[in-house]
Amino acid sequence: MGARGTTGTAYRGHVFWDTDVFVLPFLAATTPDAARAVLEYRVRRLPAAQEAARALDRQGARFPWESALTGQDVTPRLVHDPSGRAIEIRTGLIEEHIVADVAWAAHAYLNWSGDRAFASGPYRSLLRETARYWASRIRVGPDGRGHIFGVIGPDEYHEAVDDNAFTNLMARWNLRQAARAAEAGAEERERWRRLAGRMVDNYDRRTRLYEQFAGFWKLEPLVIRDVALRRPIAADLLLGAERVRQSQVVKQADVLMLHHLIPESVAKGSLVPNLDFYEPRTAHGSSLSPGVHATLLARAGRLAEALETLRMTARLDLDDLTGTTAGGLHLATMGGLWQALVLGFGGVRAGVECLALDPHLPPSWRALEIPLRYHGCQLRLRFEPDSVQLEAERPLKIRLAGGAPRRAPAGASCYRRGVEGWKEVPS
Amino acid sequence: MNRVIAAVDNSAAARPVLSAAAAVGRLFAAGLEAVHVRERGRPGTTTAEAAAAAAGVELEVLEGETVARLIEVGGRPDVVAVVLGVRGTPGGKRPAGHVAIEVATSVPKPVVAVPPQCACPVRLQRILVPLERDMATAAGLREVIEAAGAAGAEIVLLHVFEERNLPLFTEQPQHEVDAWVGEFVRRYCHYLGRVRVELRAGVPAEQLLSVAEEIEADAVVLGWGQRLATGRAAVVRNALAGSRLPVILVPVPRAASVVLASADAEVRGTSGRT
Repeated sequence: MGARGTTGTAYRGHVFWDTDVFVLPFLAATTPDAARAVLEYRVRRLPAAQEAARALDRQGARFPWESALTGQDVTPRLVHDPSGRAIEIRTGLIEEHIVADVAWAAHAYLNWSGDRAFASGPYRSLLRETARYWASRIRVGPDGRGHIFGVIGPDEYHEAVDDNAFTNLMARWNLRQAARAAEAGAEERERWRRLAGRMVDNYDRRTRLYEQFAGFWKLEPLVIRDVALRRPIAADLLLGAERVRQSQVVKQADVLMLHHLIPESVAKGSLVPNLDFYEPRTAHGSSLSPGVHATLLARAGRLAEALETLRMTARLDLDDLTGTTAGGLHLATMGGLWQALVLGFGGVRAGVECLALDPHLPPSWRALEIPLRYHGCQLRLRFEPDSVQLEAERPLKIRLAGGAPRRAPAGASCYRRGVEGWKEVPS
Repeated sequence: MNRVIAAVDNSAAARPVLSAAAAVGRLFAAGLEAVHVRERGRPGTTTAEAAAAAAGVELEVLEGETVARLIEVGGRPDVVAVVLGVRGTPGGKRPAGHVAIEVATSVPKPVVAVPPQCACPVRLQRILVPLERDMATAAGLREVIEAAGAAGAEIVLLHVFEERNLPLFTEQPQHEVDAWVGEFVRRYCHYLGRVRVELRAGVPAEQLLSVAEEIEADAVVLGWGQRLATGRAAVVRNALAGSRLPVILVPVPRAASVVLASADAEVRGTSGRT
């Protein structure tokens, strides 16, 4: 599924992380067969990804930043940007988090679908090959820590950075997941586990902030929220690419993508401080950014801001905010919109064991209804300010607002928020 | 047959005006005629006559007040454009002499302002057309752009992003620029098919002249509302003041002034916070 799907010819049908990270969760939670097909695209291109890793004297599989028919990297190498400047495109060379993104997508699908055949087959191969790539890519330095040098994170304003927190922690997550479930020998899995434990994470316990990459704190402390007339803004055009590169202006969620994708793998209590620090410094110069922020703002309970950001995400193509909607709809933005509604405002999170719900509804909303499919069970959730109604085909395990898992019966059930937490009430 | 009028005076601009008028005539597939207005009490026609003779162009000498007579000539039904000097000498008045300004703001047809130091080629082979995201301006320029295209000239569109209408997103520039340019051309110049588009960010008035030099343009086409009051038409003012190329000013109905970016990019529903 290309960045614009079949709705237009822009982006030449190339497949980016947009599909794996932004679109796939929606498909996994609504039409799992389609999600499985999206993953099959990656599975069938494992040989090309293995070849790409070998070409760099590495192991495992290196999925390309831009992928098409063959699975080889098809990222263009040179372009004139809107300021007329000829720029070398380096994403195809060093935006490597795509490798872990593919593994993450497979895991997300599994959480939603409970697809055992996938879990015992392609999932294990994907985890093994992506983990092997990271194991050969990470360098253990004299400090005994695992580093990844010279990458581009989701914030593409800063290129060839060392120890990008997002890439490092996604690689760590990938290694740990593979150590648990990949098709590999015990010795190799133990090596992955140890390497994961060595990874530099750039986390400062005192401030509870992740440094986006090594040296980020030393950059010019420019707060784009204060500098720009409005956001979103293409900050590289506003200030010039070099000035942006030398400053703390961030294109899109980078550290915050960790809180979005792997919240269980970041330091507890770190969402709010990182949201407070990075959001004002984020230009939202990618249409992927607002949806992620809407999700996180909702989870943080900052509902007015979340709602404002959600509206912009929803209107991206309706108002042609990019000026390129005729070239195709921004499917990843739509995926981000769905995630903001379901994962953000609904607080829905699919796990292997149970479905977690932790709604945060804006006061102006009377209700939010979401149809989902979880582990083969069709269900409908209706969130109201102080209640959750669930209608499920069969019994399933749920967890409300971090409480203990409970069994929801087949048919309709209702839960109400009270001073002592959530209680089931007659529906 | 349609005609292009070269308005020549007894200044250093006479010769470049005739050269440019010949090139503009080829562009518009029109004949060329020179006109000189002799005002009472002013010197005769020596330079104008000599320049016209050297160029092999017939010179019509009129009597009376220069601006009024040129406006009258420009209004003739067979006249498709008036070509005149923007000032008498390279160090002359900025952005332009009063005759150039008054004729350009009054004649409802293309007026070509030629700087005295212009070395105009026989054919205008590359023409730079700044274009805002505005249908009225795009429509107003269509006739000239199509004529130039039919004459074999390469049209290069220029769009300058100002701070107030910078794109919201850069996305993946290796694709986004193509997507944006493709849509821009389809919306505003769909009749051109494939066309070169130069994008810049900055101050339009400054970018126009630097891009013209960079791409080695032979002329610049500007749509405008024929108003040069203070605070208006900054791009036209700057082009007249600083261009070394012929500046083809095309009156555009309903266009307030030439600004290289329109307000249609003002983002609805967005604010300082996201």
